[in-house]
Amino acid sequence: MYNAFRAACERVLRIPHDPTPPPGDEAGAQVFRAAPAYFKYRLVLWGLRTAFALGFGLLLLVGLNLALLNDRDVPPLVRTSVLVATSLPFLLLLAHTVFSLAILRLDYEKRWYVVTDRSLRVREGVVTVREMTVTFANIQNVAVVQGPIQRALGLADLQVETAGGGSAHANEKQLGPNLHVAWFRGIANADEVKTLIQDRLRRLKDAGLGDRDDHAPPAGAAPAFLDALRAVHAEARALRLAVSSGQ
Amino acid sequence: MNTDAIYALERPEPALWRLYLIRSILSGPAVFITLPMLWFRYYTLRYRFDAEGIHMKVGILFRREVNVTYARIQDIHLSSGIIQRWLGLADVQIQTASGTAGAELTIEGFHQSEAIRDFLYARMRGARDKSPSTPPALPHAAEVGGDEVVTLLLGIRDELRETRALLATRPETGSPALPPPLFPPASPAGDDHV
Repeated sequence: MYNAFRAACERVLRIPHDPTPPPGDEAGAQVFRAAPAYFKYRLVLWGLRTAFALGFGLLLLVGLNLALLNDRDVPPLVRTSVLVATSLPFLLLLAHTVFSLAILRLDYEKRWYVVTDRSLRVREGVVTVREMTVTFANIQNVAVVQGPIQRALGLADLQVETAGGGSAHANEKQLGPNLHVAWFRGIANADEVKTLIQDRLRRLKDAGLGDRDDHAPPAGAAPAFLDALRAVHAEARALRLAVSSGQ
Repeated sequence: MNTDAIYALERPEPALWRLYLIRSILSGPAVFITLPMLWFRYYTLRYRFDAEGIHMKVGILFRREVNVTYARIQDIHLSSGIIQRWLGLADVQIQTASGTAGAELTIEGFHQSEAIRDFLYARMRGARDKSPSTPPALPHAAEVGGDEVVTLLLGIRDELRETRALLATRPETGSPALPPPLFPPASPAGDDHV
């Protein structure tokens, strides 16, 4: 049943094909996916939200209709029509709940986090499909974020930020999340991915903005070079002494 | 899709107008405001891709022109809603390191959005250097010339040594073999010139 729903969604929602690594970087590409526990995590959140909404709706429905049933003056026709009119939104809410559950599952399946030698590509979304491509040269910092439920499930969100951002006072109106952040949501191996990204960042000299730090040893480290320099220095001194003593 | 085909892109396709039409109808009573606005936007929207960057011009009363150099592109987003995908469109949102959370420039209304994304990716900062796995070594004096630096230094030492030997064996004064010093020593520090 779910498979049929997924096939229908792929057709009707025109979900694009699986993301490919950016051209030229296919060789070192690693694809990370959301962990199965991420679906559980979303399910917990969905359950809490649904319990609240349905509970409230049910309370309203039953309360209103009980009040009408107890009132003898209301004609039966009005009573039935009110019952139908109040049940309809409730049924819609119920249908929406089931639909959102299926979308949740699909959203969990349609997540890709691609890390190549040179760049990141994050694809997510079912209704609105968002894909972000950023090169390591533009990454400013990497953070791992974890809430209490996520910790219990062994999950974490990896947050990769680029320069800029802040409040959405763009000249072009922009609704939605901060586009300067790439989220690796619900991965079980956040530390591993973080280390991978940091390793690749370390190999890039000009990643991010700002001056780079050279951690290379000073030039004199090679012993042969140092010895030769010392010999030249000694010789130059001896030459000066010879000249000054000769005059 | 080659570079020339991207350079040739200028006006968005009519599908963008259909998208705007659907969007403004969906906006409900605001349709009387949004429809003309979006129509003017569609009608005046022009893109130009050249060797240096992207240029976007839009607007009829309030004109707006955005220029973004490829090298300043930080990240590229490709986002599409259901209606956009039905029409075969997608937004290519381009960001630089400016202080806004939104996109600096949005390329909309082209069926070739993925080709545009790949075109931009190949030109953005950090993607142009074609040897990322072997970063150039830091300038390390002993490694730059390798053994050559050491050989040269030893050569200088030998030259100095021979000069000293010559000095030691020369006659004390009045030798015709030695030219007068270039800089006659005026002070004891004058020795440094020799």
